[in-house]
Amino acid sequence: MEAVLVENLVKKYGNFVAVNGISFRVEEGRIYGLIGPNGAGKSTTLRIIATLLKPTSGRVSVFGYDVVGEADKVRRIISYLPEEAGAYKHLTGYEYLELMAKIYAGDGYREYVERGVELAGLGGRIYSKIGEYSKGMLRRLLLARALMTLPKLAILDEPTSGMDVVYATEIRRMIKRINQEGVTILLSSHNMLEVEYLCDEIGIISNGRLIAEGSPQELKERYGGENLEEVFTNLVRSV
Amino acid sequence: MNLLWELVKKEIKETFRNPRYIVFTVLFPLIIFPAIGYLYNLGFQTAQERIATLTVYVVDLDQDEVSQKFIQYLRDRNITVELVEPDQIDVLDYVVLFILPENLTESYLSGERGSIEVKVRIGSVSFSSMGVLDIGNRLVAGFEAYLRREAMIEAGLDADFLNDIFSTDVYVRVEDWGMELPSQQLASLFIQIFIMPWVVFGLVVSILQVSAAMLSEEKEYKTLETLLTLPIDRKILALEKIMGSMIVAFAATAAYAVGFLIYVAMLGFGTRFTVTSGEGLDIIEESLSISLRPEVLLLLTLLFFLTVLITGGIGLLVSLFTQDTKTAEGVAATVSMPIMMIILLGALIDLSLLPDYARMIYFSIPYVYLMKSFEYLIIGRYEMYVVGIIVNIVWLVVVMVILARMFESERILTMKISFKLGVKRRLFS
Repeated sequence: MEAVLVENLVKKYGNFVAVNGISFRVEEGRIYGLIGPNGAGKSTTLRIIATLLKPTSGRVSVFGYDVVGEADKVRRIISYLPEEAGAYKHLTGYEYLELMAKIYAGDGYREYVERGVELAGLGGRIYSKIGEYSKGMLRRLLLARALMTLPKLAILDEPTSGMDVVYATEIRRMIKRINQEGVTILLSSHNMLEVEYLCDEIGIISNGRLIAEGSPQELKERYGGENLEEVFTNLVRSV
Repeated sequence: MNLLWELVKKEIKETFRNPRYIVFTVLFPLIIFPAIGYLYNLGFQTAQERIATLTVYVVDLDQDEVSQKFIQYLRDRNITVELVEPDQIDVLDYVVLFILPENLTESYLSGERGSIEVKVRIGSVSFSSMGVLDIGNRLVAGFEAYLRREAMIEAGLDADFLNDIFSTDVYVRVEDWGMELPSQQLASLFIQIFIMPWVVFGLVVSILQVSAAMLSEEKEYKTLETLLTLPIDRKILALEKIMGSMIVAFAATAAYAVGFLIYVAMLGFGTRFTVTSGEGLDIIEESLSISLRPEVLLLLTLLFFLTVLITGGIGLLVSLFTQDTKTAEGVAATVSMPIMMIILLGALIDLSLLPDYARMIYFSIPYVYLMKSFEYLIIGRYEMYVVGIIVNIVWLVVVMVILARMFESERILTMKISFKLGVKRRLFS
């Protein structure tokens, strides 16, 4: 089944066209990566899929639910991690996970919290106030929040943004593990190694258009690069 | 309902673990009211003590019959008089100083008007220092009456009668209040009536800023996007924020009520006022009882709560247009300017002189009733609390409907207001 279906998606802010007729699909259980230069339209596309923004035209559905007309149903099955996400700094990490778990699961929230605490891997610091966390700790907490509910679709905008190598590696492992438990992942990233390691399929966006799509291996063969970084650079320059 | 409660609990934790909210909403009224009560009492006591122990300095250039009588007149009224030379004036620490001119007696005996110069010195301009401004005039007026009386007796007239032919009791009918008050009582009430709106204004501005920061903090700390993608109805999210404002309003109301009760208690459940009357310096302390029956307190509390809630709603609306707390507070400060105008309007203009439509507009503003709440309390017009509560409820509904609609639109994320200052850009370019 299609986890995500994007058809001729256009998003304009006044005269500025942020997304210009993008179409792609993400199969259930896969990891799909959107890559592109800054301002290409990746985050806008993810925000539309996450029901935050409304498309100017085109259609987007998540597991068959329209993101505009059935936004409430979409929100029940997705989890979204924005690129520059934060958390309530006067709550402890545990209180934050507990709050989020209760929103999704009501009385059965404990299982989610347990998974969240384990995914975050913050040890005793989970009971510290979020305001005292480092950037890496905060990102781990937020990712744990996004994945602990085992959503049908996790939308992760630059999941390892601004993190050191050790934290980034842990987070990639976390994403892989959760995907193996059946969660479809749609992510964006600047890190080509990360995308190559994680994604089953990749869409390359430039100037609001999808300029290439395929598995990392397919893209390397099609565009003659030794690695994804070369493919990406060649493609973006040619556009 | 459970979901809403969980979100509200989050808001409570976020609010009351943040020192900034505590200071603005709880500590401010708890400190400011007792402080005003204390300062008011202190000012009153200081004025009393100053008048009771007053030393009057006199530069007697006349050195003749009238100046001697004047000095004796003061001493007969237990006022300490010290004679000084003109060259001492600049180094004297006087409060009241009389300069009796050379020809004072001569003028009096030849039937010409003499001139007495009175110098009064105050430390700074304040309500308590105002009390001494009129002392010189009153003493001279008293001395005039004394001379008149003496002349009448010499002429064989009934001085007691002629000096006091009519007793005058000046009553002022305040149309707005629908009641009459002795003029002196009214003058003293002015102080109270004008202080209270500014205290309320300070509190309203604080709450406006706190509530504006409540949503803009979600934007600034990047929690809003996550919040909006959670499986929660947007109306519940709007309600959560409104209830967050309500919590602030509850806390502020409780602190306000406690602070206000302390304030009233410090004034001895009455309003003091000082009058100098007659020929000397009599101090009269009178009390004007303020009714604080439970139902009155309940109405006042409800009015305050609704006004604060509207303020919270407006603060949230303001924050929709901003992306960070500092901008939100700046816009909130700008929004508070019209509230200040309302205070000034009420203080500077005789509202009864306004045309009916202008009065209607004025009284359709929700803040008016809280600003005038102390006035209504003094004159016992509690029905105005009820009117105020109705006006506030109407405004509250309007604000909440707009807020709920905004929360359902993507504009909650994209709307922003920016102030582009060309001058600043030029200066730093």
